[in-house]
Amino acid sequence: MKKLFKKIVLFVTVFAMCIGIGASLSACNSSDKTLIGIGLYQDSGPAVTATKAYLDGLKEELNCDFKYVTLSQTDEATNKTRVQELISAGCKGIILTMDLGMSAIIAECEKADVYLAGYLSDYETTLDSIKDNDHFVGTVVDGAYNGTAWGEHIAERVINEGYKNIGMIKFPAFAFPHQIEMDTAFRAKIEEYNATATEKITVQATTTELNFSPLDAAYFSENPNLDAIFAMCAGVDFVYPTMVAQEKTNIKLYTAGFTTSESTLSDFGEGKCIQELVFSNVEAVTYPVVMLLNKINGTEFSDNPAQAERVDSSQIIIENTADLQLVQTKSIYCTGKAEDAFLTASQVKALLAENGGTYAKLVEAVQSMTIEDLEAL
Amino acid sequence: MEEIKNESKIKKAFSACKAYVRNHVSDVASYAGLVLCLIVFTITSNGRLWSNYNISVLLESVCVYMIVALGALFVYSMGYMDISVGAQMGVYCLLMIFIIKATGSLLLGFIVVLALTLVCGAFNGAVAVWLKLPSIVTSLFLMFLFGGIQYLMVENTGSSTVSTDYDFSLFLEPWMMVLGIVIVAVIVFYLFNYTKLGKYTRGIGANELTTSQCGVNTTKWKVIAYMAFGVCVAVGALFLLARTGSAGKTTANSYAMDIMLSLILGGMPLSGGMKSKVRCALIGSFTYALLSNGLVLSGVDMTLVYFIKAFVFMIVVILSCRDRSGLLPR
Repeated sequence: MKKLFKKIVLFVTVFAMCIGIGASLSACNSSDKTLIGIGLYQDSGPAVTATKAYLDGLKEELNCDFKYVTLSQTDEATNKTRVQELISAGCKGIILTMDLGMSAIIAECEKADVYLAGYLSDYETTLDSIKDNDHFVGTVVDGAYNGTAWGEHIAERVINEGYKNIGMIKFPAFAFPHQIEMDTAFRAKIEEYNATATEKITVQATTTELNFSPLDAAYFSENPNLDAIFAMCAGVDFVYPTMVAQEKTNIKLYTAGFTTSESTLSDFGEGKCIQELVFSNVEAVTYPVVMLLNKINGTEFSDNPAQAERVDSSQIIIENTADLQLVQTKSIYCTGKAEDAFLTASQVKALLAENGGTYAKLVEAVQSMTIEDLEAL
Repeated sequence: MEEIKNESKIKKAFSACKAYVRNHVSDVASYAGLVLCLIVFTITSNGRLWSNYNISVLLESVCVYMIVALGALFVYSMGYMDISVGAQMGVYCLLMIFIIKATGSLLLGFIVVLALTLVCGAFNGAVAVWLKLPSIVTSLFLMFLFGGIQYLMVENTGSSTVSTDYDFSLFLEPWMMVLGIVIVAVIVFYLFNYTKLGKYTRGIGANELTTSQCGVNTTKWKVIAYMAFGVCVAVGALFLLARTGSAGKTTANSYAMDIMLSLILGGMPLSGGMKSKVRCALIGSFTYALLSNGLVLSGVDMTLVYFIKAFVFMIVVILSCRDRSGLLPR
């Protein structure tokens, strides 16, 4: 019993000491910089490197700092834990790339009086329930919320380039519901063409769904004689490797996603396998950063929306080798240099409400980052 | 003369101290590990470790680890392990959600899960004995079985997670979590130290043959030990579910390894036996949660967190799991 008592006394003493030291350290080290937490869906890769490089370039001018965590794509409890860790670390605002566990996360943010924003996520399942919440400031989508335009654009390319047997691949609807619109728009455009064409285009009857795993090799025996594949999912990562392994790179691949891998990019362009690449600009993170800083600083745009909004962002669409070369030499996504970003730190600072920025200007900024804009830089 | 006497007294005290540390290396390492983590993270986190908010966050994660680790004590003290616990907890969370959705009753969901944990505990304990298989093989079977069930349960909903609107706020109250830990810890402490269950499970871990030759029905006590673990898994799953009110394909997947690591960090001998103690679960799970939380608060890059955890784990294992003869302690 004495032994137990001694142990309890020892522990209470150590705990009390730690609390004391902790409280004094906390008082001594309170920084005037605003800390913003970023929850990304992956911990490495060119998009992560470019996002970090861009935000690093903003730190000084905006007098803020960024702290990164990696979220889970399948476990809400993990995401809540990551958000709790960011709040504990002193973040006043949090940007998340994942709409998973949002009801628990927004409740946590309310409890800690921390603001939340979305980045490259449409918050499809939760936006309606949180858009009126004072602690949610809005989200910027990974490209366009509605997928119709891109579906029609690929259909036009397929028609113009004369491919007749098309394979269709996408991610599951629960994760990417707007790929259904892309699929529908593509098929409608092809049907429209088939109505008058002498040589009709055949489209795979049922679109293959990839559950975030590489395309199965059996796909090519189930769908023989394909001329081209429209992979609405990240085909560079999930479809192209299987095509290489199965020696099917004679089939043309139209897909979303991008890579900096030289071996993959060497198979892009006219006469090669990959015909189209698309990626969202990391500079789109400007939207949640500015919205959060406004909220944290207690300022508001004169034209601030009444509810938190879902805003489209422009994407870089690479259709030929000239576009690719431009991206490789001038885009922050490839160079990883903050000075190659669409927006400089001082331009971002000017977008803040306290510096006379408006919501319309902010939205315009994240929607003016196309390949043409890159060329004009 | 007096000086020589004093010198010899100091020498004696020093060698007694040295002998104590040598004989209790795992105890010392686990306490020292916890104290070290507390001091280091207090400094490196600039005191944020002790903010009210972070203490409540720590409590939330410690609560589940501690309750499950306390139950795992019965299994690990026999020198056995159960690697199906993560997959089981995932399925139990989903099952509770489905039952709540269908009936609105959390109690019914918990009772069903409790019954299932007892069946799985009995299966784990008995089948391994009857088929003369290492217990890890039966738990491996259960891990794959429950992993598959978890995947199918979520897949059939057409979503990546399943959630319920049930109000779990009571289970997230700090006093409720502390109460949960205290109740489970007191019961486990009593069972482990003052009943046949604790004595026999430690006996099985120390020497199963001798224990059975002393007239103990080891099969029966193995089954009971696994069932006791099952009860704690059910309670742990309830607190885990309360965190978000949802579960997905990978919910709780890492818990099997987390619990094993927690116990080892707490000084639990891998081979079980008489040195198994309740404090291994308490200290270990707290240290483990503290390690994850403290590293992030200290600004350690996420990519380095796993390396640091592995490094700390390796040091603790080296310090606590080997005695002078180079054998695993019993």
